[in-house]
Amino acid sequence: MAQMQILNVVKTYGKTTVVHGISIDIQDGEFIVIVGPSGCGKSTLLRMVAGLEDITAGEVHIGERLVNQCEPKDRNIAMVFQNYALYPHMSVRGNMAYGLKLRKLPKEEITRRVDKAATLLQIEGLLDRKPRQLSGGQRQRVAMGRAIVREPDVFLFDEPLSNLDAKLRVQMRLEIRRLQQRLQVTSLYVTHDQVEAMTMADRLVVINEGRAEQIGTPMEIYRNPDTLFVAGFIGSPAMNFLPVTVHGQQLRISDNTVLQLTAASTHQGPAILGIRPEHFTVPTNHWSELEIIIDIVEPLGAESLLHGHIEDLEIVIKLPAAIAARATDRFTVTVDPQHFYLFDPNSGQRIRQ
Amino acid sequence: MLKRVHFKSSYLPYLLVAPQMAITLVFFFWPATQALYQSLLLQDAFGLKTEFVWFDNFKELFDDAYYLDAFGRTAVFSSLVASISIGLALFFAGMTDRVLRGAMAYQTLLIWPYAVAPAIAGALWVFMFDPTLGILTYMLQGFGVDWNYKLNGGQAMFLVMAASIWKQISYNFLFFLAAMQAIPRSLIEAAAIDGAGPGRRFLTIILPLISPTTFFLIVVNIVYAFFDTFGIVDAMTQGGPAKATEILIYKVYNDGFIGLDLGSSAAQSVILMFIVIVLTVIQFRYIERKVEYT
Ligand SMILES: Nc1ncnc2c1ncn2[C@@H]1O[C@H](COP(=O)(O)OP(=O)(O)OP(=O)(O)O)[C@@H](O)[C@H]1O
Ligand SMILES: [Mg+2]
Repeated sequence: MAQMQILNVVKTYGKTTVVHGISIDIQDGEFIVIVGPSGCGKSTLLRMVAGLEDITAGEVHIGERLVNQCEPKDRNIAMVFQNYALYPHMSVRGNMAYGLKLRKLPKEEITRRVDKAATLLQIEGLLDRKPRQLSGGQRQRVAMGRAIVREPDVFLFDEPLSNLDAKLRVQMRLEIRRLQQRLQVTSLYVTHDQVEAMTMADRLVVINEGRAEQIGTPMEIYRNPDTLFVAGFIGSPAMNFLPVTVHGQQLRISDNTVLQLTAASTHQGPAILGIRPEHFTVPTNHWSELEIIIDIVEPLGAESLLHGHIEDLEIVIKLPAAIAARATDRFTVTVDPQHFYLFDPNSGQRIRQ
Repeated sequence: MLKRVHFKSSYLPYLLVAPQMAITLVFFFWPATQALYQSLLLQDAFGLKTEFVWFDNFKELFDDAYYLDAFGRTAVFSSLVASISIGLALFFAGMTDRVLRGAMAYQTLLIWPYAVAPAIAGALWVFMFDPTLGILTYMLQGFGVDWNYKLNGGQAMFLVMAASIWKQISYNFLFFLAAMQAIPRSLIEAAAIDGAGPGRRFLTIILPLISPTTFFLIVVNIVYAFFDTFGIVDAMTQGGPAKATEILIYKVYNDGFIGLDLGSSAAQSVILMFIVIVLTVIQFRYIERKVEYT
């Protein structure tokens, strides 16, 4: 149990900088999810916290301690790897006990902790098996068990669910969350899956090209993205982006298609308008209307996704299935102006009204 | 699993393996049957009369103190050559596996000795350790060592072993390095986080995971020490002084081609052949039990 501070951490390999000064303040027992596209430096950041990579600049504090110079084993962390990294020549019990044996715990204590963790993870029956005799989900649990028995200050997870099939992933992410809430261990969880990120996190850190674009609770980030990147990355299906020109109170998509803001914008000229697919509704009131030419309808059950275009701009909208069923190839929708997100086309920063 | 290829015509596969079969027949089966046959014959000193004596040649061998000495010598020689060259190669590979910068240069240098033919390797070592001219002899004398492997049997054995070990390290090194690099990095990292230092990781993670390779190399190295060291012995000591370095394979040659006792020589080769067959069987039986890395 410990709070943790990551202060302006930088990582360079030769001349290329892959992490450009990331700072995160983590409360005791908090579940932090680090999310971002492939190659953005998530694993690198996590591995610096673990001590598997040198920290080029900046500081990592675990509890009260500055751990920059500590060996991984002296940081009192436990890590769950993407490929589980179970020791193939040891039994499940051997795998879980390995770290405890190295720490010279008494035999009875080791047995007690391993049995307790096995009960918690429901793998009591597998303790004598070798990793190769386990399914993916069971290996995942063993990897979790190996982390739990150590009773570390911090759990580190590097995409622990990405080798599992979709259904198991949903189940395991719930289990991990439940377990973490029960154990109250500060956790740092890396994923590139934004659904996983949204559903698991106390707070999210969205990383793009080695920079933390935004840090906040999942709902804050969903409702109030700071940048174009965050807006596009969080939310599924992704936010629609339309190039517009702002004229007073008008958002001009083209000469024929103009949307009305509720008040004149502080920003004038070219901008990018973001609208989430789920914020489209059928016209029932005085908001400005958009005519969409529908190309493909994807029914998801309760809702449907309509893929289409406005003029020559591609757009995705999400509607309740009952309404979507009435969609013809030309379909009119509206959007509440409070769900308009405007971004500066050059900097990608949000334009707030 | 290799994919099975299906040929339309039935003679093509036979045609394709024919050259290999021909080579095996001419250069292995034919000499082997000859050796088997010869080992049951007794020829007089002038090669005029040949007599069929059943297993007398073998019986004689196992009553022959010289042969039993050579057997013991070979056993010591092979086990030392195999274990030391495997041990050193393991050490080098373990070190290289940890080196990042300059690893290529280091690996290349370690692989070179493998490209040197045994006879040349022997000649090189003879140059360095020649009792009168050798540079290392000179240095050893500086330390007060009376070095003359041409007279001192122990020194001769040491020299032959050193050359044999040196020559085989490259081969073992390559296999160990490949095996170590096949171990997922994350396993080593997991062990580091679990609290294992480099030495402990080597003993508890790396060594068990490369055990199939180690086993394979033990068999290969014993076979090497039994047979391929012929060139080294021949170039350095010709089995001398006073048979101190006469290992079994060299004795086959000595008795057959120098001593012209063809029956006994053939019987000795049959025994060696039998040893190889046993080793190969052991290898095939155990090599199946591979460790999986997942
Ligand atoms: N040893 C290295 N030397 C040079 N560059 C590296 C090294 N390791 C990683 N990188 C680079 O650092 C960047 C970040 O890598 P990292 O593994 O942290 O990505 P990631 O966000 O975890 O991606 P993924 O989701 O694919 O795992 C990548 O562009 C990668 O090419
Ligand atoms: Mg990664």
